[in-house]
Amino acid sequence: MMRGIYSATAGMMQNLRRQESISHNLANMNTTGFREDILTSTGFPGVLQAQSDGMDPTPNPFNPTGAIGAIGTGVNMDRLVVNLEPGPNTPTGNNLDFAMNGRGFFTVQTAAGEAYTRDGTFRVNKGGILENALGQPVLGMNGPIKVGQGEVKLEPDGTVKQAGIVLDKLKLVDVQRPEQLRKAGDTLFVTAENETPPAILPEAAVQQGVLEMSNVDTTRSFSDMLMIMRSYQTSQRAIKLSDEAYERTVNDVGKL
Amino acid sequence: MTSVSRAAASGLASQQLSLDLIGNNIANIDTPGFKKSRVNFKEVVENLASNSDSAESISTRGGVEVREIRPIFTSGPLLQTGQPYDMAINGEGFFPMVQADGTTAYTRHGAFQLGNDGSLVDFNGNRLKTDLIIPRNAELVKVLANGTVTASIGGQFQVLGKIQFGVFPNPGGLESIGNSMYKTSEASGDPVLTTPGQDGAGVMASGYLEGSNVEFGTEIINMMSARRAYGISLKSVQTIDEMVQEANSLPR
Repeated sequence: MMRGIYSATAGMMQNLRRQESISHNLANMNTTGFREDILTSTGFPGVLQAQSDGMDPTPNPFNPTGAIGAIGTGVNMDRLVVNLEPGPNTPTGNNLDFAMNGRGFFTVQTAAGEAYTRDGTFRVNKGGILENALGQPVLGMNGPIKVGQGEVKLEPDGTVKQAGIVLDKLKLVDVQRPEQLRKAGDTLFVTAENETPPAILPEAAVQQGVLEMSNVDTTRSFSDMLMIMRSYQTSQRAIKLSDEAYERTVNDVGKL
Repeated sequence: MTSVSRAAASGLASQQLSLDLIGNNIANIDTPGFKKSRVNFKEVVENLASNSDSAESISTRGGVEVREIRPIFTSGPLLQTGQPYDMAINGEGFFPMVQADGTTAYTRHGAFQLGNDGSLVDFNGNRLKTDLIIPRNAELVKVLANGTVTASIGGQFQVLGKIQFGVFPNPGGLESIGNSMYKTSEASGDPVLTTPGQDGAGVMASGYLEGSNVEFGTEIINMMSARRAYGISLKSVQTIDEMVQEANSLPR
């Protein structure tokens, strides 16, 4: 019974964590270039519990004790995986607002190295360098891009031109797996520890005068929230019942 | 538990600011020289430890924050007033104004009147930055498309001076100081005083004022979007609140 309470409690905590993740996503539904987090969890099925009970941990994770049946401990390892699917593009009319069509990232130079982002809210600073809203230079294939006077034209393949002269081509990259990247805040990504950095995108498509908004699916997030609430209440009910049964055992068994 | 509400509550505060800004834009839909503003949001992620185990844990997610409020410098419509000292810029550039404290600020709002000393002043006492002096006895004052000001003095045609515009490398980076005035910042770059119609500067439209660049339809759509985001964040907060209530109502 105690195990039942622990499992249900773990279930409630799991639902709370899932709600945290959804809250974060929904708070950012209007953040340019935001990528939503998906909470994935791997269970440690009764194998661990069986081991600590001195039983033989069978290869069958669904029936570790062999006698009564599978007892999940509810202990989970949670990891956030970033959803890299593109969000909707919104025209803004600003010449220096860039957006990518399809997957990929812009590259910017930060104090700690290269960072990657989908947020194309760019501007030209005092020194004529193309930078993002945080003051970080946007990198082309040859480093930071120096822009002089006059209108900047962005070709669909990422080439930056001004008055007909090619300044540079934007350094557009992509990853094979979302695990290669880690969120660094401010809708920036950095390469995760012990992972390969993103590679140059062979075929990119970019647009100017357009910004990409968040890729949060609000309808799905909403229905997830409802399911979490129900699941949470079910766990709570399970704890109540376990507790009542336990109470009977403690107080009523062996009563004279 | 507190970090859960923090992410959800951050959504409320940020969208509230967005709604306030949209309200301000709509209130100024008829203000000449007004430029609408937008909020830029940023995602809050705090990396509590650098080891990869906790790098992608839920505790790093802090919701959303306002990164900046930026003015949008698209042109407004040109409204004909017929007043001799009303001016508008058809294209890029700003009127350079000297404020009471001597510093220079910039504006698109060109509703000027003749000051006692022959200079052109706006309704807040700021003076147009130019060498131009218009004497009392000047008649038929004309402001040409290239900023040259001419008049007839004692029956004789004379060129009195010229007005130049401040052209910025990145006008989007200008800092708003209220009253449709803006000042130079790190992001905007330094202005170059340019003759109207040359080197990227717009032409002078005398007898016109530039209307507000707020478009009602766009603001309404943005307001709907901000309200929806607010409502969803509110639902998040409510769900968490219910969960905490449920946990509190567990027996004993």
